[in-house]
Amino acid sequence: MNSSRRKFAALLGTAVAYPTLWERAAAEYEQTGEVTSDTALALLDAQGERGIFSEPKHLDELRAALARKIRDHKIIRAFPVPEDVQPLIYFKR
Amino acid sequence: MSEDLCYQTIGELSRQIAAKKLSPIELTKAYIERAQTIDEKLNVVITLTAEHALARAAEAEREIRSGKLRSRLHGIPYGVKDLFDTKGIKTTWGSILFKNRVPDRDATCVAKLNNAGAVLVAKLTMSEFAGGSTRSNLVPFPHNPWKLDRSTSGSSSGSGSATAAGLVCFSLGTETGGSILGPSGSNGVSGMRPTYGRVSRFGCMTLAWSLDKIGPLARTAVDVGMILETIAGPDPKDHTSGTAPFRFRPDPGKIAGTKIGVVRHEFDLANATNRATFEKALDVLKQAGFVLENVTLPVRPYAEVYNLISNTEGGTFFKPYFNDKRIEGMYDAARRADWLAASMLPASDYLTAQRIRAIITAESDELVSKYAALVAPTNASGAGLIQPAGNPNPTGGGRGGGGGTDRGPAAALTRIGNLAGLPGISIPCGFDNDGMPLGLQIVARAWNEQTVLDVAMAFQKETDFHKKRPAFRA
Repeated sequence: MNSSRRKFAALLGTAVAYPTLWERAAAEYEQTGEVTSDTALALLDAQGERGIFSEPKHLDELRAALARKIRDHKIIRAFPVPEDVQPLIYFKR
Repeated sequence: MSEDLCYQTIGELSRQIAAKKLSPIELTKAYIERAQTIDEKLNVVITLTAEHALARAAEAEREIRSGKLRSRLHGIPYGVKDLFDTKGIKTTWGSILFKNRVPDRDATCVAKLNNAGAVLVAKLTMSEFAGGSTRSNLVPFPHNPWKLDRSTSGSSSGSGSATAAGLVCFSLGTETGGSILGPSGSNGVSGMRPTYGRVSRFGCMTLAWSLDKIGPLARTAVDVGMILETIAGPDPKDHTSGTAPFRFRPDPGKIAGTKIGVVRHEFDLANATNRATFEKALDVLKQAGFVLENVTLPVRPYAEVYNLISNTEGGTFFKPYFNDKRIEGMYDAARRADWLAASMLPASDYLTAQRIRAIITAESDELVSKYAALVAPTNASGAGLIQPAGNPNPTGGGRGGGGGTDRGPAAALTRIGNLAGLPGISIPCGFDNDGMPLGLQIVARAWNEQTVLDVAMAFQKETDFHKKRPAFRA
């Protein structure tokens, strides 16, 4: 039971922290043009296993990719979408 | 003789097979021998299915002799990009991670071709996991038969090059962001991206669920229509497959007065020589009776929306290989990191991208509905030099077939066609100063493949670019 509570608390913490981590990554990119290793590792931990990206070489690849995604993410967020436009996702049965 | 045979169209071969003047076994042997002789220079075949093909050809010959002609594809040899499952035959997805993967089922479109009597002779080279470049750590770089130091473009690299080199009569490729039209343009063949949902993806590797399409590459628009008719149709195993029937009509019908929208900005991106070639292609359409009007595409974040959606979906599909670290064997490190980074984006960003895509789709539907079709260069220039090793995707953008660096950034019309799921074809329309093929892309409303083919057939009636062969010899 204690173990489950701990797991649940960790999950809850991740859910709360995740958007904050993204905002931190975006702010770092805005200020310096890159995402720090600490933030990239925190994002990795929040999404699950670190896998191969705990190695410095691969972590640098991830930091570069995060910078690319933040550029896209800024453009997407800045695009004015009328409120009645629904996402193009489609459940067919 | 053998080379002439390998460059005939489906229609030409089919007539001889039906009249029992051409043996499917002899035809299959001709393609196999050509592949065995030439492929060491082209590197476009991952698995030559010689034994399987000869058995299928013998079966076709028996059936045809006994009066059972299954279809116009009966006894015709073909190849598929190595991401279509083929029962008992290695299917690698272009990756060393899956070099020994042998599926126990056929992809739906392969099953349909088999039922039509077509003969699978080769599983063809592709870039690793259908990335936009031509690279893989499984096989050496593929080469363009028009010039061996030139890129085939990707990701359906083998499908484009093998069809152009006469190693197969036709092939299947897939397109997420430009991977059929790009190689078709670069290798000088006729290749179609059908409407999203026209062809079942069951048994085909996933790159991005909401973007992946399957289509044919062949010598002519007529051949493309015949193949599409065979592989199209609903499939309960792929819930995105549409129910609209497709019956190919190999006659373009009435042309006079039919309006075509010319995406002028895309023509202006070409250099002076190429622009002159593309203008001549427009003149051909005018002379055929089409009425041309310039159109302007709205300025929208096409590349960003495409990248976010394709990377998020690709990252989600390949997530298990990140978790168990197998992903370390992936060749394209930047693309791997892009997938992971995209899968970390908040879900709201993916949904916002899909809302912008809804706007792009509505706008493009409205624009294309004013015309029979829109036209633009497939690529502004011919295939470039093969990039050095260790440089899989130097620009770091436009992955998933959208902007493979071997063919430059995808044209805006290619982006729109893929985001909106519109049918399009690339047909040969001339050559650049280096003798590399140039392609004209034709895009129409969803489910209007026949219109796309009508324009392409009208163009090919007036020109012979589709009949040109690379000077490459065994």
